[in-house]
Amino acid sequence: MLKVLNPTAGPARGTSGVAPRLATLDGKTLGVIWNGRAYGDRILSEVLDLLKQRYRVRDVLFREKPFLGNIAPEPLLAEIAARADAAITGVGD
Amino acid sequence: MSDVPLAAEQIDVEDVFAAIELYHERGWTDGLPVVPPTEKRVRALLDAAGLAPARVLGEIPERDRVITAEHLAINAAMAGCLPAYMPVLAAAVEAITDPAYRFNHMASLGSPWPLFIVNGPLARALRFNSGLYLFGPAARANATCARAISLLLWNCAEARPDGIQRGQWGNPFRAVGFIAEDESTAWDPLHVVLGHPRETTTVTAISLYPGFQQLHCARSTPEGLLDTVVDAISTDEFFRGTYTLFVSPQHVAVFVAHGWTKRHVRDYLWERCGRSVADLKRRGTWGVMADKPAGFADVARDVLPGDETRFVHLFKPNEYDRFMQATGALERGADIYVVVGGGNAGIRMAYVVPYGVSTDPVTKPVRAAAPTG
Repeated sequence: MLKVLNPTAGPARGTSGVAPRLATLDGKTLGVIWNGRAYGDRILSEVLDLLKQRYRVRDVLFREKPFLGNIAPEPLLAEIAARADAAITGVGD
Repeated sequence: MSDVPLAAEQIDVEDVFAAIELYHERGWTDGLPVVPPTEKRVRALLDAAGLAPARVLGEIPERDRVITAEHLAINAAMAGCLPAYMPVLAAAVEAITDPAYRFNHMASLGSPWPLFIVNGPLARALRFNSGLYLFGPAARANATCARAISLLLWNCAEARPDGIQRGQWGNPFRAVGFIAEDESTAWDPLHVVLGHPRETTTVTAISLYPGFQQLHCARSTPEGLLDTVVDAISTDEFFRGTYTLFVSPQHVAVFVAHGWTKRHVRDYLWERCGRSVADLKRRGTWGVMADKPAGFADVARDVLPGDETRFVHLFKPNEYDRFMQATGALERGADIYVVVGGGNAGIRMAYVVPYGVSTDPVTKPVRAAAPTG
């Protein structure tokens, strides 16, 4: 018989994960961060058009990251966090 | 030996072979068998570095992961590392979790992976290979330390194809990317060039695109040797960053005979690497490199009058660097590291291409073992 050790590490603090979902987008402001990949702005615009058809979205903050390979700058994240009710972002590849 | 309890789950298995199969079944290995990590072996690794199990070596906030000495020791045991390697591995983890390394870029389609370069007395004492067959496999220290970091990030940071590692081609440096520099020549080793004392052991992590390029450099003057390198680097990825050139001791002798230091080599490449706008347009790099903010789908690719003589420096800031300005790469700058290694005889140099736009190289000193507490 032999005892061996589990080599993995899970999330340490539970600080990553899915944010609480909104019940509706009616009357909400959406933050959108385009990572800069070609045509990503067009796809996101299409998505926003669909959302606007289904919900009475109050406003949209459309922002672009300076570079897709880097985390969005702190001021951009702070603006989205302060002014938007929900945010759409992702790697997008 | 420290008697602080380990945090990891302990699993009963029948024997070594059952343990090897268990790690395959649970997806805890990279396709090769592992050395079953027992508590005794893991404690030997921790004690060799004087590290308490819970000692935090680094954090990866975007994955909400904390890498402890115990995590590293378990994965190093699996890779077959000797306990004496542990202080070097701890420095390697500190390097890639340093904010300047920007761990988030590791998920890229470009398959970036760190190459680790060990300098200083421990590199020799632990018998890291710096010579023949540098990119191996050749030596236990190189092969097992490379795999230890690969397994650690596989198991503790989801850096695997079914996790966050979305690389298109993968990166062979996961298996062989842990090397030493040959410090026996007249040139200052990398860590001294970077400002560290010669008697300090350091680990430098540089995030690279996959693989390396060897170059047939059959000339007998410094300029002749380096013009081959200028030509090759200028036609490669063409992203600003810190490139690394590997020079054999035989070529170092040529440079030294002409009074050239590493700095001369670096400056020669710095001044000359680049291409004309016409070249960049013909290869489809122009829109990506220079006009990204305008959306490269809309950039005119036709070669215009004057493009043949408009020279775009790879390393030096210039008027065409809107893309680099956008990435912040200009503010961070770039560099060319010159590292001695490989077989003494031979007319080939080699270089590696950095994943330069999103990451910077990081050098950390290796701390001597202290009593665990």
